[in-house]
Amino acid sequence: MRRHHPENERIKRRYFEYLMHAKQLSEASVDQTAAAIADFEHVTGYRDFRKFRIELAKKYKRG
Amino acid sequence: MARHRFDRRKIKQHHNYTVDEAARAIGAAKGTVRRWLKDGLPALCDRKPFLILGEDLIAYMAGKARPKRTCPPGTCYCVKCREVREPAGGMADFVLVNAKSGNLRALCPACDRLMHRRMSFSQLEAIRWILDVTVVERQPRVNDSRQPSTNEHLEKERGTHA
Repeated sequence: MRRHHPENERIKRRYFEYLMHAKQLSEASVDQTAAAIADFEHVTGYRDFRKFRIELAKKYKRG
Repeated sequence: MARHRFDRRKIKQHHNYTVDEAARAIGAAKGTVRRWLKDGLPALCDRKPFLILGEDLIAYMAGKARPKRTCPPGTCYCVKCREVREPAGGMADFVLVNAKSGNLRALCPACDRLMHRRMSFSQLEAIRWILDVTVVERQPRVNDSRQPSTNEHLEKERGTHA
């Protein structure tokens, strides 16, 4: 099974930079965010973020 | 001096790294990481900058890591051969360094170079049944002398500039 989506990795990278430098989040907070996103990706089968729908997030929250 | 062991715990599993970032994180040179890429470290190479996933980098470094080796009693580590060797002919010298310890000095059986191993007297007694050890006094050092400098004319010059 695939373990990453190349485009998602680049989007995540930009988002972490934004959190760290624009939002000035601590390193630990960015790490927690990264872990949470990685878990979401795993659940959705490493689906492209461009195909994100709110229903997916709701389903993820239900567990 | 280059470091030979890089700490893979500095890499974060859920982050991705460019070559430069990965090198900075582990304290390696960029060239080292590029060499790893050529050797088969997986990366996202569809466009630049190439990205290395933290998870992949951790796994790659774990695969490369060689566990530290300890020398069993009566052996030395040969720096030239990079192997643990038993002293040639079962003979070694023990060069005294201070009241409690010294250096075990022996010849490598493979490359005939000197091998050294720091050792205390208690450890020395434990290996005496394995090796034929000769206790040697260390060579005198400059610091042992009361007058390290033999330049006697310094005293004379001091007088002339008065």
